[in-house]
Amino acid sequence: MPTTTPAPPRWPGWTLLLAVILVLVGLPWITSGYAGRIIINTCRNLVLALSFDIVGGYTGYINLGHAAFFGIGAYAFGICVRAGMPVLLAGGAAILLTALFAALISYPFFRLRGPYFALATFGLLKLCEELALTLSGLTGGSGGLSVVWPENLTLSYFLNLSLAVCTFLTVWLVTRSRFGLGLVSIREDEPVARAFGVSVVWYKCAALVVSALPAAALGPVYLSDRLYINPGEMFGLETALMPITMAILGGSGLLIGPVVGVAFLSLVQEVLWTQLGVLRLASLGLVLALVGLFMPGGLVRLPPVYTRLCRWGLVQEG
Amino acid sequence: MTALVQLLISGVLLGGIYALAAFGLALIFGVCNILNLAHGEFLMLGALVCFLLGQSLGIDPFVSILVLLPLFFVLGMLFERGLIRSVVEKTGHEQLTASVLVTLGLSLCIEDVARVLWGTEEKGFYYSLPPIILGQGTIVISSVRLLALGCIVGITLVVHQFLVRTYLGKALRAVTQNRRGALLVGINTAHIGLLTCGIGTMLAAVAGVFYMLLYSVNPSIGLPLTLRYLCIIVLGGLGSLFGALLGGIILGLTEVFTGYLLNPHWQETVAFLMLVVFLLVRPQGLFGRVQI
Amino acid sequence: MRRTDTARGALLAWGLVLMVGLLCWIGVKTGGAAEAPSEILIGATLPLSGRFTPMAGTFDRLCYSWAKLVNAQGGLYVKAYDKKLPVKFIIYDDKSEPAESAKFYERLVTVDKVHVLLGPFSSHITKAAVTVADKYKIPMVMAEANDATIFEQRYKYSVNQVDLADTESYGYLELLQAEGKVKSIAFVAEDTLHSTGALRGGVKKGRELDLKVVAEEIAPPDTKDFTAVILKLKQADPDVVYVEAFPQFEIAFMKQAYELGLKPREFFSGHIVDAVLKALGPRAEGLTGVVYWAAGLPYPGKDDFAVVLKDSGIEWARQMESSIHFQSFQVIQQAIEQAGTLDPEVLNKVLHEATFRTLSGEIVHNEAGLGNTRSYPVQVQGGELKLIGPKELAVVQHIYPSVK
Repeated sequence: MPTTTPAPPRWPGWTLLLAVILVLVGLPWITSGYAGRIIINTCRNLVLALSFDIVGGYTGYINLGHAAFFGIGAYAFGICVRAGMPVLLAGGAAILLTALFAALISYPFFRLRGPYFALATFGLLKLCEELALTLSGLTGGSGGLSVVWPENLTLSYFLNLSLAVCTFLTVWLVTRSRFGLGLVSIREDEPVARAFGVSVVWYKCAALVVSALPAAALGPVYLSDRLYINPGEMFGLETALMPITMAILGGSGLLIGPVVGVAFLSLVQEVLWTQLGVLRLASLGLVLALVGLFMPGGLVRLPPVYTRLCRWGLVQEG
Repeated sequence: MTALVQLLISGVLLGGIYALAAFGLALIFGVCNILNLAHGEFLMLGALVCFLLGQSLGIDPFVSILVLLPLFFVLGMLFERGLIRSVVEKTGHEQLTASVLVTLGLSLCIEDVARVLWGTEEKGFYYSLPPIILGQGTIVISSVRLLALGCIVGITLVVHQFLVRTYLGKALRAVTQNRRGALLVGINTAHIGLLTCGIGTMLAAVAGVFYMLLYSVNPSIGLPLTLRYLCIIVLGGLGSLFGALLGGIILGLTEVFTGYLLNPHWQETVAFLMLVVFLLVRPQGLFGRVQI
Repeated sequence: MRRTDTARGALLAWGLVLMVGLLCWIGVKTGGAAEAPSEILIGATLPLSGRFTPMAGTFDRLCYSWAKLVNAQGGLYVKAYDKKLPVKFIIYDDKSEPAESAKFYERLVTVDKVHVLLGPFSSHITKAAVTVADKYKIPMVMAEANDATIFEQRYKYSVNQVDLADTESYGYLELLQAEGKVKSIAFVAEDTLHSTGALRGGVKKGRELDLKVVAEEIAPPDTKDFTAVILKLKQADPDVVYVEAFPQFEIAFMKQAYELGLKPREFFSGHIVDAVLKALGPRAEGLTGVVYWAAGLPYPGKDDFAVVLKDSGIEWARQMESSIHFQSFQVIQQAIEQAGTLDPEVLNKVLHEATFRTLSGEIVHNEAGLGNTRSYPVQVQGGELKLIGPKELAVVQHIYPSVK
C-alpha cells in the first residue's frame, strides 16, 4: 500500500487552456462581429497586462508608462507605412525601434526605485503623448494618424489572438527560465540578489526590453485594425491604467494572474456597461476598491482560488 | 525686460497653485506611504462645494473656505479610517498595489457620483479682485493668484513650525521616518494617520477653491490633475514638503518660459521632459531621501 | 483521488460547454426577420462616461424624450406597412472611447438589429464608428462630426448635418468684412481635432477677406497658464481675439486675458455655454460667438425642440450640441417618412439625395454625405446670446468695439 498520495495531475489545467484556445479559434465561424470585437479588445488587454507583468510583477518595478511602448510601436508603424514601406517591414521596424527605445531608457530609469520609478515612467508616457501632439508634422498631431486599407475583422481577430497566445508563451518561458528566477530575486531583495551574483542591471534592462516587445507588436496590429490613432487614445489614461489594473487585480507576479484579471474585469465591464443604467464607473471603482482592500495580492491569491489553481497545475507553488 | 518680469511673476504664481494642490499629497505620502490617486477628486469636490455655496447661497468663496475646512477635515479622517488604514498596514509590493487599486477605485466612484448628482457640464464662477499693476500697466500681478501663493507659503511655514516645535508635529515626523519605531516609542500612529489625511484632504479642498476662482470645474478633472501633482511631488522628492513647494514653482516657471520662448505647444512637453530628465539625474528628487 | 479527478474533469467539461454557449448567445443572430417590424429601432452610442461627458453626457435623455414625443402621436408613418410605428432608441455608453464605440455599433447592427444608426459624439469617435455603417450597409446619421478627414474617405452609408469645422468662423468673419471696421485678427485654438480645423478654416477665410491675421496660437487642451500666449497677443495688438476651444480652455483663457490686461476691441469665443457666461460675469457682455441654432431662428421644429429639452431636463444654453442632435432626429424622421420604408438601401438613398427641413435651416448633403448647416454669429447683449447675423435673421445690431 503506498503511503504517499500521488501527485495531482497537471493536465486538467492545460487541457482547459487548450480547449479555450480551440474554441476561440473556431469563433469566427459561429458568431458575429460583436463577439469578435469583445475577444479582440480582451486580447489587447491581455497582451498589455501580461507584458507589463514581466517588469511589474516579476521584477517588482511598476512601470506605469508601459503603454508608451504600445503607442510608439503604433506610431512608428503608421509613419513607416505612410512613408511607403511595405507592411511587414514597417511592422518589424516598429518593433525594433521600440525595443531600442526600451533598451535606451532602461539603464537610467532603473536607477529609480518604487514610487519614483512608477511616476517617472508615467511622466515618460505623458512626455510621449505631448511629443506626439507637438511633432505634428511627423505624427499628425491632434488630428491623428490614419492608414488606408480594407477592413478585415477576421484577420484582425486572428492577429490579436495569436499575439495574445505568443505573449502568454513568452511570459511562460520567462517564468520557467533562470532569467525569470533572477528577476524574482531582484523583486524580493535587490541588494541581496546583487550580492549573490545576479547581474542586476543587465537583468532589469533585459526584462524591460522583453516586456516592450509584445506591447510594441500590438501597436501595428492595433493600427491595422483601427486604421486611425491619435495621441490621446494611445497614451491616454485609460489605455495606460486599465491593463495595469487588470494585471494587479488578477494577481501580479503569477502567469495566470493577468489572464484572470483581464477576463474578470472585461466580463465585469461588459456586464456593467450593458446592464446598468447609471453609476457604471462608480460600480467599477467599487469593485477595484474592494479587491484592493481585501485581496491586494490579486484574485488569484485568494486562498480557495489559489489552492485550486495549484491543484490544476496552472500555478507553480512557491 | 518687462516681459521677463511678467513671465517670472506668472511662473511663480502658477507654481504656487501647483504647490498648494500638491502639498496635501506630499503630506499623505510622507506619513502613510500611500500614493493617493483620489487627491484630485477631493480638489474637484472642494471646487464643486465652493461653486454650489456661491451659486445657491451667494457665499463669497473665501468665506466658504471656512465651511470647507472642517467639512473636508472630517471627510479626510473618514477616508483614512475607512480605506487607508488597512492599506497602510500592508508592506512592500502589496502595499503599492493595494494603494493603487483602492485610491483609483475611490476616485472613479467620486467622479461618477459627482457626475450623477451635479451634472456633467462645465461649471464656471465669476470672481474678480483688482490686479496689482506695476510699471505703468505693463506688469500685471493677478491678486487671486498672489493670494494663492500667499496661502501656500503661509501653510508651508505653519506646517514647518508645527512639525518642528510641537509634540504632535514631532510625532508626525517620527512616523514618516520609521513607522515601526514610532509605534515602539508609543506614538499613536492611527491618530497621526487621521490627522494627516484630514489635513491633506483639507488642503486639496482649499486648492479646489482657488482652482474654481481661476478656472472652471467639471467632474472629470480629478484624475489627470492627481497624476500631474504626483509628478510634481516626485520631482520635489517624496515626503518632502519644501520639495513640493519648490517642485511646483520650478514647474510653473518652466511652463511659462517655454510657452513664451518656444510656443505654447511645448509647454507641457518640456514640463514632463524636465521631470523625467531631472529624476534620471537625481533619482531621489530635490529633497527626497536617498535609497539604496 | 480518481473519483475527484473525474469530478473535476466533468466540471471542466461542463464549464467549457457553458462558455461556448455564452459566447454563442452573445454573438449569434437571434430570430429571423419578422414580416413587419413592430417598432423602428435607432441605435447609438453616447459618451455617458469619460472625457466627453461635459458636452454630451446627458444626450441619452434627449433621445428618449424625442422618442416619447414622436410616439405620443403613434410614431412615424411608414408607407410600406401602411401604419405608424413607434420609435425606440438603443443606446450604449462608449466611455468616450473610439474602440468601445466601434464595438457597440457592431452589436447594434448584428445583435440588436437596428434599422438606422445615430452617430456618436465628436469627429474623433465617429471616425471609428462610421466604418461599421459601410461594412453592414446600414445608414448612419452622424451627429456632431464634421472633420474633413471623415468625408475624404467617402463613406457611402453615412451623412451628417453640420458643414466642416473649417466653416465655423465664416458667418462671423463675413459679418466683420461687411461692416469694414475690423482690420486685424488673432486666432487662439486648443489642440483638438475640431478646434484646429476651425482655426485652419478661419485663418484661410480671414486672409481671403483681407483681414490681417496677426497670430495663430495653438495650445494643449489642458493648458492652465496662458501668460506666454497673452504676452504675444498683447504685442501683436489685434482688433479681434478669436478663441476657438471648449469651455474649460475658453474660461481659463478669458479669465487670464482680463487679469493680464489683454485689451483687443472684441473677443470671440467658440462655445459660449452657460458656464462661460457665469464664469466671466459682467465681462461676458459684448462677447461674440457662434451657435448652430438660436431661439430667434424661424425654422420648423423649435417647438418640438423646446418640449424635448424640457422633458429631458437639458438646457440648450448649457449643452449647445443638443440642437445638432435634434437635427439628426429630424433628418431620421423625414428620411423614414419620405422613403416610406425601413429598407436600408432606400433609406440611404433618401438620406443622401433629399432636402431636409431642420431647426437650423435646410440641409442638403453632398456625395460624401456632408451636410451644409452653417454657424450663426451671436453676441452677448444684456446677459443673453442674440443673433447678429446674417442680415435677414439678425435680431440685434453687432456692437463693436465691445470691450470696455
